[in-house]
Amino acid sequence: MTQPFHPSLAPLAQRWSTFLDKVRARVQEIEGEATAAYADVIASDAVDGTALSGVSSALKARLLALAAKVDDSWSTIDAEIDKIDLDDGRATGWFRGAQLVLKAQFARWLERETERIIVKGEADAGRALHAVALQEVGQQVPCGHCGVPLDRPLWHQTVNVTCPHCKAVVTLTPGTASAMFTGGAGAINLAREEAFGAWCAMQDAEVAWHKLRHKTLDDLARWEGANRAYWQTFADAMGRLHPGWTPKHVADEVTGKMSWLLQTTSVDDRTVRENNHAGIAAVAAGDPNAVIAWVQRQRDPEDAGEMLITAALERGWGQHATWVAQLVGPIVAGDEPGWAAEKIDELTYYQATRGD
Amino acid sequence: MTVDRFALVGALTEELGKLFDDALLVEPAGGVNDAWAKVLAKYGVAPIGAAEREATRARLNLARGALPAEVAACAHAIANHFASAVGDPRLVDAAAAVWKATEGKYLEHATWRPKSMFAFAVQTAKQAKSKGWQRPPGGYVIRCSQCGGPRLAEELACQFCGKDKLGT
Repeated sequence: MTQPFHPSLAPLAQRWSTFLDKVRARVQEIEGEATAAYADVIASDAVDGTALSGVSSALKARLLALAAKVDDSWSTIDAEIDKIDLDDGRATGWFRGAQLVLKAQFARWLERETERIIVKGEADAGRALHAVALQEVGQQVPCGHCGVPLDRPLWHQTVNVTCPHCKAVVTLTPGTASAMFTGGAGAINLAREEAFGAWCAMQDAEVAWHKLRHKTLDDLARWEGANRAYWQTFADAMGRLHPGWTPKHVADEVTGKMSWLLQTTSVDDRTVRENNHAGIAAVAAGDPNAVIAWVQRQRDPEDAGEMLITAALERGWGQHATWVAQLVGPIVAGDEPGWAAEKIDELTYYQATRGD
Repeated sequence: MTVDRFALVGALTEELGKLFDDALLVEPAGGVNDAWAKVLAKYGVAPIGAAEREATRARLNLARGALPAEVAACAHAIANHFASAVGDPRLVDAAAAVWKATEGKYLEHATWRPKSMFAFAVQTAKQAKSKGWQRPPGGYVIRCSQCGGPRLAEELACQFCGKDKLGT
């Protein structure tokens, strides 16, 4: 909920906003320098990935330092907010919450920009490496015993071939560029670029997942889905880019990458989420009987009623929250007139001052 | 040299020093901002034309500061002013000598750039190029360390002398 801020807070809002704009401008400058550095490194040597990692590390370190600077500056602003004494004790709370939301949005933007710049730079390096690797693909190699030129059945890995002339078993090794593209990070960097859109969607889903205090099985399914979509996109791209990645390899990759989530987050608090799911689904359906029945089934109905109101608010269902409060108020606090309005006011304020 | 002459040379040096400081503060590099325009006007120096200005800025790779030719013209104007004030034309030559000695230092300051955060990585790339560890596709035949016979099968036993393992 948007609240008009007290005029005495406006200069702080302006300072904070101006500061964040300056940091954004600095990030753009850094991107320009990073793009030039990636180009320099790739032009110097497309095969050796050491310097490439150096550019990415320097970039990450610089952007992390900027993020730390944002934190420091927020501490200053925060301390100044504390110094402002207003008649309405909540006024600074609303204001602080709104500025913290800006800070959180900025942190996510910075994280995404960091990833975008690195993914682009490393993918450019991957393309340059791929071009060198392709020059090696058709190259024949002389038999190590009789010297007859031999075709290589696999260009990306070591393979034994029997020489048709002298029958010696010749161990054929890939060129450095081919080995680096498939065994190093070349193909991975290109796959990360292809999957960047899915990575952004996963980042959004992660934010949504962590914002929810009261999670349901549907929320879990969305979070799992975003993870799976990312790893599937990445693995599919690897399947196209890497000659050694079979459909089974692609499937195994997704299974492997998903296993941690499925064995931890997906099973944690399962019972709570199932219960939340039933209650919040009743709210979403607008079914008063189902909502009341769910609240009455809980060990602490008042707490459960609050939970449903909070869950509705944090999903942006403001009207549902009011409806739930009016519905469960007489049941959980029949002898407290104004319970519903008070709860809505209290929980809306809490929601707005969480700062995420 | 008399006390007056010492004072005069001190004042000349001070004014030249201020000129160089003002010149180095000019941004964008090789440009004419308001402050520098005032300096040029004060000494009656005409700004260099846009095309020559851009060419000189690029040739000298200036990071900041006014064009050296404009600074030199201002230094010359200062020397002329002092020379006519004391009636000693040798001051003009002295100022020219000062500028000649200072120009290199001025350019050093005007072309200095902070090291990029990526300088180390770029340098690594340039050095790594000379390492020469990159190889084209290759092939080799494992040989028996006892008789030198080539490997003829997937198994590693030598088919010539019977040694159970080829290679080392």
